[in-house]
Amino acid sequence: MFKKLGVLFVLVAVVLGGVAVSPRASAQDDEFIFGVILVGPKDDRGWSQAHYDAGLYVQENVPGARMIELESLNSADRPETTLDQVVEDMVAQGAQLILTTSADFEVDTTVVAEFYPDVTFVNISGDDALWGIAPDNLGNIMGKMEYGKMIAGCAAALKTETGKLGYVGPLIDPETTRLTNSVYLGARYCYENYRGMDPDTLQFQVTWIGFWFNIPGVTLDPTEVSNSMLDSGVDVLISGIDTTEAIVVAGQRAAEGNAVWAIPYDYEGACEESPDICLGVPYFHWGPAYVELVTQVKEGTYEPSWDWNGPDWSDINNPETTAVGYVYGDGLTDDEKATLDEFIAGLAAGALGEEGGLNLFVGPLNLQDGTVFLEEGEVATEKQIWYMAANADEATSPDEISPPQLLEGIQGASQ
Amino acid sequence: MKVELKHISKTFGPVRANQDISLTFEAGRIYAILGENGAGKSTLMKIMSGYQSADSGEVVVDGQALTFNAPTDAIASGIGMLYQDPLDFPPFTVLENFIAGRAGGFLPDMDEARHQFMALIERFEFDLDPDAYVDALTIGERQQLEILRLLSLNVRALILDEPTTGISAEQKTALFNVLKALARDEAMTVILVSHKLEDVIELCDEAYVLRRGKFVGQQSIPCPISALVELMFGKVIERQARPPVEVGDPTLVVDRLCITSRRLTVENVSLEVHAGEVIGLAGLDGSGQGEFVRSCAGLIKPEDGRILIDGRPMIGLTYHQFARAGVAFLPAGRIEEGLIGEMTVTDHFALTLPSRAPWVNWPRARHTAQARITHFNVKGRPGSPVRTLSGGNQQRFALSLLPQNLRLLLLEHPTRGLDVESANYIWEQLLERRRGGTAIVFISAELDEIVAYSDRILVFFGGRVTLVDDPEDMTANRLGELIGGRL
Amino acid sequence: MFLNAVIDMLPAILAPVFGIVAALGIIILILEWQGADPQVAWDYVYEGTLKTAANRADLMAFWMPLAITAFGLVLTFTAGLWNIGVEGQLVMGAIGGTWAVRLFTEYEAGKGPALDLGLGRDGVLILCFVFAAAAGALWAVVAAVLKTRGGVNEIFGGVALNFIAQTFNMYLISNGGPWQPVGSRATETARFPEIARLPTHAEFRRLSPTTIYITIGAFVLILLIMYVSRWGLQLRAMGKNQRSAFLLGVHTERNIILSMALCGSLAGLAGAFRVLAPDVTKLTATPSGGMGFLAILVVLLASTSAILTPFVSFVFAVLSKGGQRLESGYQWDYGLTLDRSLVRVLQSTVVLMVVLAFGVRNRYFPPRSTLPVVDEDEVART
Repeated sequence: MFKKLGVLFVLVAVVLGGVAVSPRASAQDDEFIFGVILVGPKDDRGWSQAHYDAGLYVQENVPGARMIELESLNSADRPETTLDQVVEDMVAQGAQLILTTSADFEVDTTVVAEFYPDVTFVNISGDDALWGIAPDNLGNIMGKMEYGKMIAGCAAALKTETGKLGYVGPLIDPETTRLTNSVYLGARYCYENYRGMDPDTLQFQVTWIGFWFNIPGVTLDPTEVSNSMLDSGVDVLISGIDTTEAIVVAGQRAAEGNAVWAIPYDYEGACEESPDICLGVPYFHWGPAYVELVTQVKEGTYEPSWDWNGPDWSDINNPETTAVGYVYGDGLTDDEKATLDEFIAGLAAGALGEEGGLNLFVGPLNLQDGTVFLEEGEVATEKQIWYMAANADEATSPDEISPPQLLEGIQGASQ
Repeated sequence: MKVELKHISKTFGPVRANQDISLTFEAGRIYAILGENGAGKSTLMKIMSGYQSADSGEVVVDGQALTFNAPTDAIASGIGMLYQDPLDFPPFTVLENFIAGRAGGFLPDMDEARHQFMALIERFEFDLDPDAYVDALTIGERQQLEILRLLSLNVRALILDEPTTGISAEQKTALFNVLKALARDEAMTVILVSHKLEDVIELCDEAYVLRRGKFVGQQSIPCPISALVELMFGKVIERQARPPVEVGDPTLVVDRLCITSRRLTVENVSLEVHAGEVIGLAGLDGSGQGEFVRSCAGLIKPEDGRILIDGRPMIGLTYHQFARAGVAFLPAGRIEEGLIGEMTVTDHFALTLPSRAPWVNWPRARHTAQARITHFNVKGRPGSPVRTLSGGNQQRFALSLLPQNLRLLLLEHPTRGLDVESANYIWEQLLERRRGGTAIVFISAELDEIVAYSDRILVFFGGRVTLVDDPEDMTANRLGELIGGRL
Repeated sequence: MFLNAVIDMLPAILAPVFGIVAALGIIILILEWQGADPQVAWDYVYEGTLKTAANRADLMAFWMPLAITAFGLVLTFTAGLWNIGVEGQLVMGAIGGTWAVRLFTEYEAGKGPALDLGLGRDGVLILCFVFAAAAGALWAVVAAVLKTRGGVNEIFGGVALNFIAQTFNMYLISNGGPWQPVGSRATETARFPEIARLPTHAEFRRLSPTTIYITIGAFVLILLIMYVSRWGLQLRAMGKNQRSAFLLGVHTERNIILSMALCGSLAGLAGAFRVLAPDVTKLTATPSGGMGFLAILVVLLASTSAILTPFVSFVFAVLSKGGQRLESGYQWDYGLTLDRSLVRVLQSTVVLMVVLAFGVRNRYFPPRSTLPVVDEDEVART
């Protein structure tokens, strides 16, 4: 018995026995280390890669900035660790700014930030700083993806022959609801105004897979969801999830001779999966916001705040300036591109408050349960759009806000 | 084709399945291989058909010694075996099965195969649809298919393992006609492995008999069934004089018991066994005696009838409740069923000694183990894993594990595989228990054992039962006829 | 006699050692191939597991649920039951524990507990563990009854039940499920209120001594069952030959259900550890994250020895935590991206090598005890 134990201890010692300490990179004086924690793989061609690429962009554009990242932090991929532990490692490595790039990190970030008051935390897509309940060293950043999604919806409406659009959604929350509604509003507008069709005949169907990406045995399989949507007559798939299954499936079906198209999400290069049937991609461009953030934190001028960054309306695809953009895909004809240009110009005018500009979040709009979201002529406020709830402005804390809802006319669950 | 087996030996661990067996099978004749379960006939046939390889000895086909590494080798040499459970592929059609196992390309010539198949069917007057799916066929039809398949592979010697089990009388007649025709017209060698002595007498020209792994004799047919029985079971020896035993109250009452199992139905058995009585159950393997004993142990739920132990109705109770009522059951395959090979002698006592404490009293278990194995003359140590004990020691050990005051002891083949001394020792112990008032019911394939030790004999044939009240008058011939189904 | 026993045991000890050494060799080759300096690897593994108090605490926090799950599996594997469903039992434990928190604490501010028993922290936590154990046990009993009464092999039943448990968990906390806070954007419940948090160690905010005490208690229980109790002996007999054990008087059906239930309840406790971990305190999307499967590997590697299980699970915890640090270390210091699945590869390699080592041993050095004892009398007779 003692022998067994002895041998095991020797074993453990062998495993753990630190040998010689080798030289390795350490934080230099002029170096600014920032940590980026990703929920998915950094090469997912979606949400996580967009953040990772933004980190690389910061390294190129801010002298001395160095990124340390950890990808795939979720309890399925890394059951052995938590955000708290990763943050501790990153701080030990010298990180002065840590970006937690998922809604799933939001609550934990507020907790962990308190333990490291000297480190700045930014949760992407969160809203804690909006309500003043976040620790002083925690801010939020988000991009106004509604516009990108409206353009996506418009492109889908210009293309569809069957009048059926399918949306592969992740999970239900205010953000995803907001974005789904934006796609729908864009699609309705363009179906009516550019195609001359009755927008009420446009079918728009949402399936939520249950998470931001496929976890076998846990979520619905987005590949299956995409296939069954196409089987039911949908001819344009719009992705709301972090990964590329929708366009991959549409590409396969197009190769089999079906007239189907797809619009991926999140990542500028997502069309590359299947360029010919891609109608473009609404993408986040976190680089400029990150550069600004890193620069400010480095110089000590950052005041944690809730930043909801819109596109650069002079050129929504300007890599130096824009927070969200839309790249046209090869699946669009030149006519369709011209129509989309016109639509985008209208959105720009509306966002900039110009006369005759286009704002789609204007009443009358009803929610799925039939309640009024916006009265006739009422223009939605930022908070109403953010939470997809009519009472967002009256609330004094996020608890009081009604659950988000899809708009009337969308087929799919709101909860 | 002439097939010779020369000095075939095969052992499985401590079991000598075949010991130096030499047999000759001439072309054009039909042979029977006879022997009780465990006599070694299956092993021998598997060696002959390439399914297993012998430890020593050789298979000689038409004067040429051959080595088989797989059944396909044997088939290539002209020896094919028809197994008890046909080895076909149920999800496929008859024709697809027909061409399975052929050498040749990935794309078989289906038209050619169909042509060949239809020709064979016509010749043997089989009624098989080449496009039917195999899972829709009866066992008899599947057997026919398998025979055709083997014939199409140019098999010249055909081994059939219990081919008449589960087929209809018409199919049996058809099968026998085909086999006779193959032997007569094509000089094929046919070897039948069977328990059914009547089938053997009807079909075969010659019977080879194996017992305990050895070839013990041959008999030309026609001959009386009792001649075969005598070869299979040995001569029925003189009954030893035994002190009369005080027979007590009925311990076991079986009343119009009916048992249905996968293999057969046992009907309407009634029996009273008194304390101190020994009942021997005779019959060819699988005639229903196993089901009967297991019903009395609470392991099989009978279809109908009553079982009473000391007057208490037991139907519906569990095996463990039977055990608490004083019934013990010792199955034949000790290591598979009854003992745990990987565990030690002491472990077995720790497991079975009655105790209310939640923990194991290891000193007591060791002490008991030592005492019992000394008393029962078990060659081994308390720490020996039971698997390492020899067959006789395992059986003595199994007996030593039984509780002291049993009401009824049920045994399957209590001395199978044991040498004479071990067998005598086992019976000394059993008779000792009998004197203590335990009723004993045992199954045996050794007729002399049954005649020697039984107060009464229950003969099973095909699920039907004959009670022999006074075995003193029993002769080998008479018992042989009873077992063979002649009443 | 004693020497013989040691010699008999030697292959059992040597096989895992050989396996792990061989695995380390393969891992070094993989690292070399990926362009990483294997020398530094040991530093990283050390840093990720034992270097600082916080490292050791984090290691403990992963080791405890893994070990306690493995303890339960020792029982079922000993009884010859492949309790693949342990993963789902762990998830159900996490759900059960969370349910207790929701019932007995003021989960939503100002509303009061759903069932107000006036409990303090100890009471809430005890109920939390009881609920977790009961939920895990219930899930295991379903698999057991499917096996004994429905004739469904526990492996297939377990796989199905794993799926159902995980799906149920997702239903509760995603897409506006009943346990997801209103308007929440994360796939999880709200953090547990203060009264349902485990006391933490003074120095390590992420480690609760409670889980260590419970795990040690479970270890003692398993040791007693396996090495002292009659029940443990019965399970061993069933594992070797269930039919014979039944004929020798063991109530096999009852023992199948009982051992599964006990295994399930320990897995359930592990689930509670996972949700109650001080840096978690909520039900997450995948509370197990494959920990049940990892525990199965642990028990296989320990050849279902109760005494070896804590050590083997420790090795696996080290491989998991150390492997993660290995990945981030090379990444952050050298800009070298190792494949993300390296940690799983590490563990699988160890298991594969050890299994291979056992195979080699059984093939070439069969254990002495399997050789037949020579019976001189019988030799003389034949």
